[in-house]
Order: sequence, then structure tokens, then C-alpha cells
Amino acid sequence: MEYLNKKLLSIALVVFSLSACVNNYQYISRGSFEYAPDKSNTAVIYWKMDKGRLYYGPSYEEGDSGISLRICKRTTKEFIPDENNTGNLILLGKSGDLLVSEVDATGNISSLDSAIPVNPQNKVACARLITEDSDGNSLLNEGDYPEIFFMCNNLVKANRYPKAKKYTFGAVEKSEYKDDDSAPGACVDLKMLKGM
Amino acid sequence: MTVDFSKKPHILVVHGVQTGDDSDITSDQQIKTLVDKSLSSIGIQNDYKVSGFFYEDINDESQTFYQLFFKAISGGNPLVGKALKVVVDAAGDVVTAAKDSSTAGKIRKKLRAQILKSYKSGNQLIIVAHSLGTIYALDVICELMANSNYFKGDDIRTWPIQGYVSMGSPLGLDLNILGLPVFAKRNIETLSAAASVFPWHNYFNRLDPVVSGNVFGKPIMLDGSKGPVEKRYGDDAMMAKWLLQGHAVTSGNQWIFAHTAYWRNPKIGDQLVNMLWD
Repeated sequence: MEYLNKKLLSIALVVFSLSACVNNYQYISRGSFEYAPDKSNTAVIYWKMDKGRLYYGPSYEEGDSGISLRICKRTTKEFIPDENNTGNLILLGKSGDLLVSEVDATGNISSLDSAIPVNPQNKVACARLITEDSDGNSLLNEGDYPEIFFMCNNLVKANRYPKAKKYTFGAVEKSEYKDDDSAPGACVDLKMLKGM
Repeated sequence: MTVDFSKKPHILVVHGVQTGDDSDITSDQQIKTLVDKSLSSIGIQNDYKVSGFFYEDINDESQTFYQLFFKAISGGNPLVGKALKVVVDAAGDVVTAAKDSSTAGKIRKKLRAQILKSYKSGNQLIIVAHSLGTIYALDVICELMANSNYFKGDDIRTWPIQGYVSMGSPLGLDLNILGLPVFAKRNIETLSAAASVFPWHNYFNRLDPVVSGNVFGKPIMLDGSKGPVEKRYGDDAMMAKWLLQGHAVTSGNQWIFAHTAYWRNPKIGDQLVNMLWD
């Protein structure tokens, strides 16, 4: 019995040390998207990051490669790293989408003369989340205001994309995330939040 | 026989290496929880069905001889006997898949039948697989794509599977143990479509030893978001018109705990909501 107790204690210590060395932090930023004049939907972006020490010593800090977007009464989307090495995160277009705007290197968005049908095989970006400034500094630290450009629409699935334009979200907030926590909800009254 | 997108979608969950039997597996319930939470977070209620594909009993049947053998050599010591049983149960699952044995064939056949059940009833289907299950799932998707009855070009109503989500997959490992290629590279079947892609979302944690192949859980160094699976299959997938996207995720866990944390990651639920209803 004593042997079994020692064994259980050792296992508990190993489990504790493996799970306690690295903490998981959640970053969120809230904003809203325009779908029609006078019709906007609240939204939230979130991503997580591990920070701490590996159980065998070295320090460790790595984040999710993508950023998730939840839009109230719409669907979820995930921004992934741009394979063209722009340093931004992009949302890939799907079948039936039309590219209606473009973003230049200085961050200005303009309408295209005519809409271009998206072929998903060409990995076309339908939205862009700016993650770095021109000097390569991260724009996703606590207190930063993320910028998202939407550039597509879909005539059949009109709710897939908000109006093509630039959206600036609220200040990034950071908190520790536990396994039994929930990721943030999108349907939040932003005025109420500001009032708190 | 085609998919009717007005019908409620199905999600089929394929588990990985397991000990115990089919009744111990709750992976389908875990995925349902993630999807329910994701839908709730955006204030939407949609109808859908999640099922589990279980093959642990088939694996266990094929391991009966080894289980009895190790029970005999454990000399009646219950601790040793229990430990050997767990090792045979888990390691046996991997060897079964690696050897492409008749047991692996039975598992693929059963999985194929379960997929086609959804297709015959006209329900769209997404497959979510974890760990060793990602190998069986990939093999069966390729088998169906090679069959001329399914995946007819851009007509996605003829696709029995609309997308694939893999988590903690060992598919990126190029291991060879005692001359046996453990996770031999698969041939990705080409989709005959002009303007469509077959979506494959691969979730991995840099600290997951099953993904890295490092038994001590040393982190993987990434090239952009490309993990081992994307490095090994990225070019083939692109040529075959699969849209393989790697998603590195974090969980605050290390080693084998990082391997099981996908089941609680809200991003998996978000991705499934996007694939089914966006």
C-alpha cells in the first residue's frame, strides 16, 4: 500500500510539473462589422499564447498561428498566416466569392473596377488582419488596436462577408486562460462594455 | 444519390490510440460540446448530428493472443499485468495501422460504410480525426476520391465528405522502426475539379510528442504555420487540389497532455461551424 501511495504521489508530481510550467494566455479584441447601412454586428477576435518554462528548463513563448473571429449572428472565421510572406494574417476566399476591393502596401483600401470571381485553388485573400507595422513591430500587443480589411462579397451568401472596408477593433486585452474557461462570445453590447 | 445541403449536417469523429474498449470513448461528445459552445458564442442555434466512429473493439480482438501471452508472463503480479495490458493495447493499435494488416483493412471498411451511410441519407459530412485516427481517415477519404462514383468534379453534392479536420496527427512523421515504416507517406488522391478544393484543416501543438516524434516533447520549429504534416504533404496536397491549412495551437499543456488538449480547444468548434454553415 505504501509503495502504491509513493507511486501515485510521484505520478501526481510529474503531472503537476508538466502542466504548471507553461501558462496559457488569451488575447481578445472587440469591434463590429457593417453588413448594411445602419446594420452592424458585434464581433470578437481571439488568440492564445503559451508562456513559461518547459519541464526540462528552457523558457518557452509561442502563440497560436491563427486568429479566430466570431461574429454575432453570423459565422466564425479563422485568419491564417499569408503564404506570400506579407507578415499579415488572411482569410481565404471560398467558391462563389467575389473580390471587390484591394489593399495596397500602405494600407489603403480601394474598390476594384469590376469584381473578380474567386477560385479557391488560387488561395485568394478575402480579408486581411494587419499584424505588424512597416518596421516589423507587432500590432497585437496589449493595448494595440487591430485593423481588419474585408475585400469580398458573395451574392448568394450575402451574410458571409461584411461590407468591404477597413475596420478598427478595440484595445487588445490579455488574461490567463484555463482549460475549463470559455472562449469569448461575440454577442456583447460594446456600449455596455465601455461603460464598465 | 447526392448530398442535400438543406438537411442537417453530420460530423463523424474518429478517435486515436485508445486503451479500454469502444464504450470508454467519448470523443463524439467532446466535439459536440465544442460545436455547441461555438454556436452559442455567436448566438445561433443550428441542428446537426455528431457520431463517433469506434474501432477499439476491432483492434482489441486482434490483440487477444498478445494480451493472454503477456498476462501469462506477468507471473500473477496485478500491477505488471495491468501495465503490460495497457502497453499492448496502445502499442498494438499503432502496429496494426503501420503494418496495414487485415485488421487495418477491417477498420477502413467499417469507416467507409459509416461515411457512406450519411451520404446515402443525403447529409453532408465533415470528418474530425485525432492522432492515429487521422491515418485511417485520410486513407478512406483517398479511397473514396479514387472511386468514380464519388467526388465528381466541382459538383460538391457528389462529395460524401465535405472536409477533413485532423488533430495531433502523426502523419508528418517519417519513422522507420526495425525496417517497418510506421507512418509511410500516403498518396494524396487528386480531386478532379476545376474551381473547387477539398478542405483539410490540420491542428497541431508544437509541444505534442505525437506530432513532433520527440518522445520528450521538444517543441517543433515552424516555417510560418507549416508543421510536419504541411511540410510532408503540402506540395502533394496542392497538386491534388486539396486545401491543406496548418493551424498551430496552444493549450498551456506539455508532452502527452498537449496531445489530448485538442478536444477542449474552442478553435476546433469554430472551424467546424465555419465549414458547415459559412
